[in-house]
Amino acid sequence: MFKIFNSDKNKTFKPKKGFSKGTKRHDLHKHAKATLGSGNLRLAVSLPEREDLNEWLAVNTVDFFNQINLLYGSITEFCTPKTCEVMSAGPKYEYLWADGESVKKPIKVSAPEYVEFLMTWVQGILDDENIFPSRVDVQFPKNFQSIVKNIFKRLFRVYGHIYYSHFTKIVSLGEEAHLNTCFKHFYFFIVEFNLVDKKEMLPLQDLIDNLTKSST
Amino acid sequence: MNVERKLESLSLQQQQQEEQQDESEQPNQGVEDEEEEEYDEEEYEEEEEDINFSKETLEAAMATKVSIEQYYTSLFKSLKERDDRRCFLEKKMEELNLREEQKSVKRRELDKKETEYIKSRRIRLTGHSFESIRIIGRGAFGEVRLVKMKKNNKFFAMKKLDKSKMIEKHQTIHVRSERDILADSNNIHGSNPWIVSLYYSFQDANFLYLIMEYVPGGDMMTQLIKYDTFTEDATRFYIAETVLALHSIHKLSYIHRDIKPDNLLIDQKGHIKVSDFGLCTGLQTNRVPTLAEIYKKYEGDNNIREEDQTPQSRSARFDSWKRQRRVLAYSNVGTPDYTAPEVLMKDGYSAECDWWSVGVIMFEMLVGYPPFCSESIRETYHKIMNWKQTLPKIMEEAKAEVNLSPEAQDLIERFLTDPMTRIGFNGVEEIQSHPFFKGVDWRRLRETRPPIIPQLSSPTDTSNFDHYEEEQQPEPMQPVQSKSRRKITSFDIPFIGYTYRNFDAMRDAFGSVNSRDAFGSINSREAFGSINNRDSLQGANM
Repeated sequence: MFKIFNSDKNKTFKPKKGFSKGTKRHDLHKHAKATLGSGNLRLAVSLPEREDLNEWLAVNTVDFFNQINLLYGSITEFCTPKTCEVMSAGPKYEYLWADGESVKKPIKVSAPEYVEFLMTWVQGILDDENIFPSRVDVQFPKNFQSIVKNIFKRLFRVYGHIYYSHFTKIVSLGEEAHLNTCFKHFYFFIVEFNLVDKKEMLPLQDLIDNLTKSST
Repeated sequence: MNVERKLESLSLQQQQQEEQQDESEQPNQGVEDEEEEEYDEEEYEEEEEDINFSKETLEAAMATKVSIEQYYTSLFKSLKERDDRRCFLEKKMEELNLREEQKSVKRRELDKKETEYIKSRRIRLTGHSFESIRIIGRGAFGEVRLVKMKKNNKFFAMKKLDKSKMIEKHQTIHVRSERDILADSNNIHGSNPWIVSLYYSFQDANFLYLIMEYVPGGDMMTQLIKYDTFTEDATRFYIAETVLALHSIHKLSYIHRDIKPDNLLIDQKGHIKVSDFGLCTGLQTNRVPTLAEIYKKYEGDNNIREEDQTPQSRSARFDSWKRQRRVLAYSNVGTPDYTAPEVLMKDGYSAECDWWSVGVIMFEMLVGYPPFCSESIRETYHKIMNWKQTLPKIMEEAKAEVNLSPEAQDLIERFLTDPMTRIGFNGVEEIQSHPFFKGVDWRRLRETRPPIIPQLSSPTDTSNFDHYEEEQQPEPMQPVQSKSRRKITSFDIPFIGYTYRNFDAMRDAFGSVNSRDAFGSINSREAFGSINNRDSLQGANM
């Protein structure tokens, strides 16, 4: 059984002090608006009538994981230990890696290393038949929803890093609408099922306000 | 949409400029702040000047964009389909005046299937999810096997296609065509009974997989080899079924374009199912002018005319065709025997091209070989392209040797004619009302007793298929990589979005306790050979 490390003492979220103001490079993403316009994402996240909640959480977790994996995969050329010495979402937020198992104490690693750790960790959970069962006769574990919450909290950080550090590259590659749509979908799902604390989402609050103005 | 995005992009650039102005107006706040500011500005400018992306990055971005667009298209489609199924059930239960307890049972059944369906969406299928039983077909790009799904012990036909061969032969559009139409043919009312059901499709690094319904009766080519010719009654049945099958495909806005006896399968009750949609093209698929290009090399040949004059006896033609047909069925080149002339030219064509193919098959069923068959592809090509001159002679020869009723002859000639005067051009009803089909109950055709009923000894009986030797795969058996994160490369771009799950496949999937035989309910008297098939075709052999 997978154990989620939970102690506040070693929390991996670390606000950076002494920051006064963002610069234009870091703020570009706040004006992002383009989306694919393919449908109503608010409705798409709702639990279908009489559907099992855990099953709905599971299939969406896999989908969001795949999307973030794709989006990050297109900018790995620019996300290097040299350009991104630490996993950050702008100059104010840094993240240290710890999974509670092989890395018990949070460590400072570069962004690409952090993302690699994170993706491998998530993949391991998704492949764990005791947590994400593939047979109908196997139940979800009792702590399934807290595991999902931890996954979403950390996946959110990848979006944070992409938006703050690599948004111009995303735009140049013609992926802005795709990134925005996936993030918007991700955000609506988080809100619908209360999967991530508000304070964890502060780095992208301006973007969220901007993207969620429209009804879809 | 594109204009909108461009405006957004321009808007973004304007905002950048505005920010630059704001930036320059602010006073310096101290040495430390100034240093930090300069650093950021420098880095920003550096990024802006960098226009070049590596090939890997461009390919990864392309794959990302296509995948995400595909995902959202599929997402909204599947949500709508789910809602449609629920509304359909409620409406049906209302019509049937079910009691509330009965309704609850039905709702729970649907709910269970829906849950299993979304579960299946996150489960990665691989070739290792199936146990191979026997090869039942082989083609240019891969093979078809009878397989058993390990999780539920159900039997399927697995079509496995080599990606590198498909790319090398520019066949990626074809394989996509097949997956798309098979997926489209399933809807709220269940699968199309005239089309082989697709249950799953997926891929790995080297192969594409289509997991389809196993149709145990073999194909029409095999039956024609076995019986040589059919009676007019048998022919009427099979042509009528083929007409309805093609009509159901045309209604989906697809044209098959490769109708021939080996693509008409026979199910366990003896009815027809159409398969092999690789050449299929629809409104949403790019047109593939493959056949015109393949046969273009024959255009200039004129030497063939004298050879055409050589009379050939029916038995010689008959033997020649029997000798050729299996070779042709498994070759890369194939044969144009069943292809309409407008498909062989670069002119446009439409659904009528499939009716020409039906006419060729009808002729073959009654006479013993297709009308334009020859010793060479070149000769066949010329006979088809000059059908106005060649067909009358062919019909005369056929009538001299076979007892063709006037209705049969007329129908064949109305199939084998110009597209715009071809029967069926004005709708399938035009075909259905032809005198040859007098007495056919079109609405209950699929419940009618077929002329040939396959004799099957078990659910894994493959006796109606050719025997294939197992090839020793030269590729080393790779360790199971299904659980690793694999980077998408340009090699994968043509196959993005290939994965598919059929809702009806959930009926007995993934460990459900109520597992049934692959055949469902079997009428064992029909299925297990209590009838002498040959009796029903007593008049078939000349």
